Amino acid sequence: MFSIEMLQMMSTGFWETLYMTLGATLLAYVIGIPVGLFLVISDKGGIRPRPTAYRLVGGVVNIIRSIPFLILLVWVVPVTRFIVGTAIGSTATIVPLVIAAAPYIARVVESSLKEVDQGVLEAAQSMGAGTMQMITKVLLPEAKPSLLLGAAISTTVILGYSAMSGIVGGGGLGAIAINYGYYRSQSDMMLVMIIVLVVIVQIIQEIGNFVTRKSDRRIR
Amino acid sequence: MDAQPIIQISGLSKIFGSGESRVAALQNVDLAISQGEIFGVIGLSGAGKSTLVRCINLLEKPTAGRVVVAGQELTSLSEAELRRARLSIGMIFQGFNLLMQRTALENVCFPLEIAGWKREACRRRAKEMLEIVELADKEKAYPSQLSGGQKQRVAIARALAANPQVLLCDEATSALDPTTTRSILKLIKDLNARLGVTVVVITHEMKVVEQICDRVAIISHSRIVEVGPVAEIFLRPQTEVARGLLYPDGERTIHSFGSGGPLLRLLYDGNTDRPIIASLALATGAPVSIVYSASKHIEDKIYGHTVVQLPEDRNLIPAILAYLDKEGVAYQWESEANQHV
Repeated sequence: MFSIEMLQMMSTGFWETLYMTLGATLLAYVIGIPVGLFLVISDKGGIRPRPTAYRLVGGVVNIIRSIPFLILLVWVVPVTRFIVGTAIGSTATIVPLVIAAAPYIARVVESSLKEVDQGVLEAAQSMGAGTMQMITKVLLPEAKPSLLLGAAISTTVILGYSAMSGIVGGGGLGAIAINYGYYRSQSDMMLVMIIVLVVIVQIIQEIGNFVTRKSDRRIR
Repeated sequence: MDAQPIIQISGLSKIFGSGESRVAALQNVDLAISQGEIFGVIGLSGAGKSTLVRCINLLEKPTAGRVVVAGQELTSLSEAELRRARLSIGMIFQGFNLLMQRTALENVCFPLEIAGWKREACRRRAKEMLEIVELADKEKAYPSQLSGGQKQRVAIARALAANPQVLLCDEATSALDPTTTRSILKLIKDLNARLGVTVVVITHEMKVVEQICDRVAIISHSRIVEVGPVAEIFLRPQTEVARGLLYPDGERTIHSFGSGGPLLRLLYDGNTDRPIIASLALATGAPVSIVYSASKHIEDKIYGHTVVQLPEDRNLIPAILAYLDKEGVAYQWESEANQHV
C-alpha cells in the first residue's frame, strides 16, 4: 500500500512532529511557568498582591489566547523570519507554537498552583518564608503532581497545533495529512496519519498520568 | 507570671472591608501575656479570636494598635525584619497545614531551612523534635499516611523546631476527637513546662481552657470582655458571655419546686473537699434540694456552684447561712428576676 519513499516520509514526519511538539512545549514552559507564578502571587489574596500588574499580565495572556491559532500562524511570520531566518519548516513552526502555547501554559500552571492549600501557604508564611522560598519550597513542590498532569495536557494541545501548522508550510505528520490526505484525496494516507497522531496523544497522556501518580505523596 | 509580658497588645483593631461592608473583627484590644504561661482566648465563632491570634504574628495586618512580641514591636518592622521575627513565633492550626509532598521529617526541617540551617543540622534537630513528640518511627511517613493526632504532633514538632519563644495554637484541637484532643493538650502542656515556651491557645471549647490554661481572656463581639486566672473566671464570671461559655448547657431556666422557699447559690472555690450540702442538711435539719449544679476540675481542685432551694420554713434560713459562714462556703441569693444561670 505504501512505497518505501512514503514510509521514509512518514518516519521523517513523525520525528519532525515530536521535535516541534517537545521543543515548543519546553520553550513555552520556560515562559509559562514564570508567568503562571506571577499570576498566582500577584492576584489578590496571593503572597504579594499587585492588582494592576495582575490585570495587565492577565489581559495580555487572554488576548493572545483569543487569537485563533491559524491566524496567529500567519501574523507572526515576520517574527519567525526574524528569529529563525525562514518561515517554512519545523524549526520555524516552533515560534508560533511557543507564542500560542505560552499563555495557555501560564493559565494551566496558574490553576495548578492555585490548588495548593491556602493554609499551607499561611503556615509557611508564619514560619518566616520569603517570596522566593514560598515559590521554591512550597508552591512548586506542593503543586508538582498537578503541574506534571498539566504538562501532559499542554503537550497534547501543542501536538494538535503543530499538526495545524502543516497548512502554512510547517513540517511533520500534520503536513503529510494535509498535503497527501487532503489536497490529493489519499484518504488512506490521512487515516494513517490520524491514527499515528492518536497513538502519540495516548502515549503522552499515559506517561503524564503515570508520572503524576508516582510523584504524588497524597495518595498511598 | 510576674515577669515582663512577652506579648503586649495595645489598642489593637482590625477592620475588614470598607464602606457599607465594613466589619470590625477586633476593637481596641489590650492584652498582656506573661513569659512562660499558657494563655487561653475563648469565644464563640465570629467573635474575632482567630483574627486576634493572626494579628500576633501579623499574618493579619492590624488596622490600628501595637503588637510587641519578645521586646520587638512587630507592627513597626519592615517585611524582611518581620520574617526574621516570625522565626521566634511558632504556630499550629486546626487543619494542621503540613506540606503534603514532604515526609514528617522534611516537614519539621522546613522552618529550619527557612532560618538558613545546614541540611545535616536540620535533619538532626528534626529527628530530635520528632522524638519529643513521640513520632520518631514516623519520620519517613507522608502526612496522608498519618492520623489527625499524629499530623498535629508533626505540626507541633515543626512549630517548635526553631526554638521559638511563643507558640500560637489556632483551634489546634478542634478537628480532633476528645481522646486525641486530651493527648495533644497534654503534649502542649509538657512542652510548655519543658521548653518554657509561652503558649497562646485560641479555642471555642471551655474544656481546652480548663485542661491547660493558666489565664484566659473571653472575647465577644470583637472585644475582650474578661481576663483573669481560669479558676477566677470560672468561679465568678462577670459577664453573660462568660457564663454562656462556661455552662453551654446551663442556659435553661432553673426550675424551683413550687412549694419550696428561695434559691441560694453556693460557690466552691477549689478548697472544698467535704460533702457540704449533705452536712448542711444534717447539721441544720433543713431539707434543702439541689435544683442546679455544675462543677469543673481545674488542677485537681473542684470549682463550681450549686443552686439549692431552701425549705419554705423561713425560720430555718438564719441557721443555714450561719452554717455556711462557719464552713467558709461563699453564697449569693438567686434573685427571682434572674433565674438564668
